Amino acid sequence: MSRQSPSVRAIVPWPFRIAAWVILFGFTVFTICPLVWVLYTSFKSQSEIMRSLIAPPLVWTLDNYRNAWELGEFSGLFFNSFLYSTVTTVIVILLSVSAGFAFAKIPSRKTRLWYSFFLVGLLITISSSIVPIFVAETWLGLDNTRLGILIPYVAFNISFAVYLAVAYIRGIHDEIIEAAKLDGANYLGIYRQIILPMARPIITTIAIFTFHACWIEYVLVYMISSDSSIRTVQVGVSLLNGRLAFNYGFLFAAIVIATLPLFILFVFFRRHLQAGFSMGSMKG
Amino acid sequence: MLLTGPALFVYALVIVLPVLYSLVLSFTEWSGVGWPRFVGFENYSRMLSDPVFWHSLRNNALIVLVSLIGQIPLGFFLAYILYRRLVRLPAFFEAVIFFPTLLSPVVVGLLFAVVFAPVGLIADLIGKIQGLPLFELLIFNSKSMAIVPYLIVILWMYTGIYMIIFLANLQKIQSETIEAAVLDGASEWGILIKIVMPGQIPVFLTTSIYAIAGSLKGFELLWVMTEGGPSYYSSVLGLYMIESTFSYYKYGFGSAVAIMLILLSVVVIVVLTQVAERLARET
Repeated sequence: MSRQSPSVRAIVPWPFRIAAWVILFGFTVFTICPLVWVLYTSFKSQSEIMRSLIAPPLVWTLDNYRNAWELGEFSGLFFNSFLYSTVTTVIVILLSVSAGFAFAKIPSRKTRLWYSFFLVGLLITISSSIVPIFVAETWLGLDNTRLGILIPYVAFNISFAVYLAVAYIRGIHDEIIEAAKLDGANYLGIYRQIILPMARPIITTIAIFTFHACWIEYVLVYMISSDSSIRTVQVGVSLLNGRLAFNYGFLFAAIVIATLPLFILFVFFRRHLQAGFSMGSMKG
Repeated sequence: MLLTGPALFVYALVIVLPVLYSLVLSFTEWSGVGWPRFVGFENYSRMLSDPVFWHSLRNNALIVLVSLIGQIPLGFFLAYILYRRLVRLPAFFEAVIFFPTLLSPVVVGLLFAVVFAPVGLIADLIGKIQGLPLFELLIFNSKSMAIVPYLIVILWMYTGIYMIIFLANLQKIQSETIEAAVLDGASEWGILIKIVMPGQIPVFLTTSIYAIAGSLKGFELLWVMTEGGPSYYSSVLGLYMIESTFSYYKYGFGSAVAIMLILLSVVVIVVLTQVAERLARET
């Protein structure tokens, strides 16, 4: 606790502090309980789960994880999820930072028009336009292909990435760019030597955010992949549910496996994710 | 053009073209094979006279309501408590409440399907408390109540987003303003109402718009959790669109629902943004 806190906190009346404590503590318990329950149930044997759904395991077992990994064919699913998320992230960064530079620093009526054209894309998601995408992909023969997943992933993540990039690059001082121009640099030179290095923090945010969005995406892959070899972790987990409806231990182990990469992102990049989410609301 | 061109090309190809394509399809009847047959506004009038459409719209409205009276105010109070450091370990609470926001809708849907199942976690809990080992939770059998479990889930999952948004905005307040108020003998309640709240009004407006947009866009979680069922009791517009298209291969009708969904979100958001901007300018 910082040093000025006692004097500030001294005037906080006790009903206020108790109310604050109750709201915060209550909501935190509400948040944690289901997560803890999933975690310990995933280490519980089926017979114990049948006896009581809520009791913690008497004997902790890894069987659920072993079975889930093998029956769920998670190695292939993980490969696909990582492939789609990584490739999309790289392409989105390349496209959005260059477009963001143009929108932020090359003022003209045309760039302003194109930028607002992009912003409309913030209002449309893969799920809300899945019918048009599905129809278009079957028409083009892209359904059931990796390309048919990657192209929409790139397109639907570009709007937000461009928005983040523009907001950040606008903050870079014009004087730096003017100075480079006087030194004879053209736009591409400015882009490579000034914008890219200075935009590194926002590139990280875009990367983490895009990777996360791809990792949790479900509707598109579910709709267009009749071939199980191109499916992702999310679709794999959702299909396990149908096959072993009442084996909760097994299902929960799969849930934990599917969530581990997100937990790692959370631990290492929470600040970037929070920045992305709070900027996401301001785009309105 | 060299810099914006590639991004623009992908965007137009994948987002704009399909939307225009389904706009055309929405005026036709088409089962996916052969040529679409032009039917004018028939799909739209059929949709507007379908009780499932209206029940789904009602559920969408309830989701918005939960955001407006639940997630947003709660998110604000949580953020305020953390911002004013009214408890110890604010960073811990912030991280825990934010975490569910990151989870995938599929995983959360599966998890809460088990929680609210007839013989799921809640039923088990109630049964243990009341001493009825065979207790079954039948909330999904009620047409009007079937959406309630989902409302609880989104409160659980997404309140953290609003907390983060408010926290980011609260941190923009100059700390001198509050210190001066404290020195002038302002009470904590006075600081909240007179100093902090007025500055957050635009944030309340933008988060409300965000909530409305979100309610129209997402349905994966509900799809995995209830499939809109039983029957159509827990359906929302997004699920109605999926069902109409893929269960009966009525691409024309499904496209009409899709266009309706896109129109609703774009028009509602654009109108609300204008209203919010005018309000913000007047205050």
